[in-house]
Amino acid sequence: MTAVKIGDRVVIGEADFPESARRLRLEVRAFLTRARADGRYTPSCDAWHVGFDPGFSAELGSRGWLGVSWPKEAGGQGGSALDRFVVTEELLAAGAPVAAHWVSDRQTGPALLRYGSRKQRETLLPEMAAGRLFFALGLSEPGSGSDLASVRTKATRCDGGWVLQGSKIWTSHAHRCQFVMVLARTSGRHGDRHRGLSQLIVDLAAPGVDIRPIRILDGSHHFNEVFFDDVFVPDGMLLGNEGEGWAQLRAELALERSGPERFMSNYPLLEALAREVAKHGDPQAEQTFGELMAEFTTLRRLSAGVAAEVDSGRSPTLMSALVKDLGTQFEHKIPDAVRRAVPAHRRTIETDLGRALRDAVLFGPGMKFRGGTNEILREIVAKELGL
Amino acid sequence: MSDAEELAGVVGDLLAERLGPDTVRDLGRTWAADLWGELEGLGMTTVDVPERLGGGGGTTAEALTVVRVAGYHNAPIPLAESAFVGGWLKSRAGLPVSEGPSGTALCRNRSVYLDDSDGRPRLTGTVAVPWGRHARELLVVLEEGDATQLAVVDPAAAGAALTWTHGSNVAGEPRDEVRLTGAVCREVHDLPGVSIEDAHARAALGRAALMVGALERVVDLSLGHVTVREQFGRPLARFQVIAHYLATMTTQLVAARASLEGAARAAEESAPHEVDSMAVAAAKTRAGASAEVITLLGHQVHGAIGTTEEHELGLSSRRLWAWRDEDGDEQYWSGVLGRQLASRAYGSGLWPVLAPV
Repeated sequence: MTAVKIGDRVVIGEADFPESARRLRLEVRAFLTRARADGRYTPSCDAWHVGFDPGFSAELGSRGWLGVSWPKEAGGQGGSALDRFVVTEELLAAGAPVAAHWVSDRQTGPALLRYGSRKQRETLLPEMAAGRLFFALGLSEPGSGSDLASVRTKATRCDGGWVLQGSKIWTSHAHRCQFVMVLARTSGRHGDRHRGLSQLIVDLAAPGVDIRPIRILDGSHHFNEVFFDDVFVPDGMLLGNEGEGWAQLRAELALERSGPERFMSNYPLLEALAREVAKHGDPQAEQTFGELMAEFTTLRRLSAGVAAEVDSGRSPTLMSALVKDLGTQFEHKIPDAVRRAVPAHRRTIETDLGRALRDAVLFGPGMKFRGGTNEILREIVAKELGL
Repeated sequence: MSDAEELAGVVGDLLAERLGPDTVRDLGRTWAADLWGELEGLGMTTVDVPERLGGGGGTTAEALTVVRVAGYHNAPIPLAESAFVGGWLKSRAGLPVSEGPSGTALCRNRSVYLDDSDGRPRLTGTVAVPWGRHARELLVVLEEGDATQLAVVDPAAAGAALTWTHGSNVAGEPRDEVRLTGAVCREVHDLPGVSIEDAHARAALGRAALMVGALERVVDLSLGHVTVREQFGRPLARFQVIAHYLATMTTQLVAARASLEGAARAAEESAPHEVDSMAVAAAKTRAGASAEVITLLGHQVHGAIGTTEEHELGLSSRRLWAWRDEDGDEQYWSGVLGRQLASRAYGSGLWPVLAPV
């Protein structure tokens, strides 16, 4: 017998969806079915990342489906993490264009709730929950890659605020959002790593901000490089206390990692595959589809379990890293599984399956590093195991 | 602490005390008769059998917990086959619990024929019975038209009408076959609401629980090994690639466990003690997928020592290699899952099937 028992360290949360979640699911599903029938949108893979539609986000906001778990005074619904889980998975399953508000709803909002000043919470959160105010994330830099603590963007004290100098990269939708949350050095030296870092709320329309597009494999424009040339950031726009940026970020990343978007980016492809399998009844295709579904149902259970853990006041670092590692590997292997299961002539670009497959293939490479590479996630799991 | 966790603690402590690696190896192709008796006395072989039939009246999840813990400890007893499957079949037929393990045989493809022409039902045919040589009674599940029947044969009474061929799986567990030549049945009962596919799914669920226990053991052994074993002047765990292997193994373990718990829960939600074949299909498929990764990496981090008969790693890895093929392998169950899901999704779409309201 060994002294260390892994089973005792792993808590798989058990999600008991409350009645409120069931009602919410019905409402959201009915709305989405209608929106699709009315031609409001066409389902697509990775729509939580590429489907930027402010009108659609505002409509969701007006129905109370953004900031679901935020308190009422912040414009939210005072719901649970499981309520939010249900709304997000319905949106993802429908392939709805939700990229505009995704970051605000998932992490910037919760960060503001936790660390923001009263004024920030009062002015920003209700607008975010209404689907009118969108945030981009200013974390990565040209030289920093996954190593966020090595950021060189610097904010220097000045009269009434800070002067920001530096640049950010892979900033999704910076050209369409109003604000960006920037991780910057506010004290100490470059080599200090995570000491002396803060997060600043920066107005993307401010003088000195220059946004340049980066086009990805399918030719579309979501990513940007954002330059800050002596941009003035007023005092009131620092998040929490100076020097606490790293700690804030660690808590945010746990939220960023475990959500259903980490295994549902390619969900529309699974729907198309289900139709194909039912139509042709090929045993090989049935097996492939079944293997994917065994994985999907497991991930869904794990991800809902993390939400349930959050509702019980815990911060499941190990589980969220593990879910994202497993989830992104899963969504990444869907396209190739579909290729093996369905012959090429039945998945040409004229078919629903073929179109979903094309998107999944082209967006695929990004899925395994955004929000922390799989290798970094394994570092986190290993650390949590005490290795 | 939940009832299931408490149960896991009690059974785990007992099995840890009774079953060191040497004991498990020494028992070889026989079995731990005393341990069976002890567990029976504690009610651990009839956890989810209704109280009116002499069982514990517990949930499927609790019964699965006991099976999982038995898998962790390589217990040489037919806890999945006799207790989890046999006990369930008997209670579905309204039969009370009895002493000693039963042998269960699922006769798919009509491999056994029931002759009831003279009012003394007799069985003829050949069928596989895991642990059959140790069974106090044989439970033979048959399809008769649309109905399913449970025929009970007393091996001691049937005598020469039974011809046994002893075999074993790659882990050395008894996997016997019996030829019945007009073997007289002690009794025959209807199994209302149970198809032979349901019985098969129940067996796969028990098998998946054994597998999750064994997966947990391999991960524990590996975690222990990499923190103790030194190479190039430092513990193996200090090498990043080894730490990542352990992270991957843990992730695979958690996935298999979560899928098993999903199936246990589905069994309770559909109706008490029912089987949800899609949830079982997912659990057995997932356990098989995890077994592939975990045995590969577990052996890789142990190196040569793990390949010896002496090392306890092989007790678990060989069981995993055997169990992933028993009661339906990943290909079988993923096919079932894919077929059932696709046909239920036809027309309505997949999502309402995955997330019903």
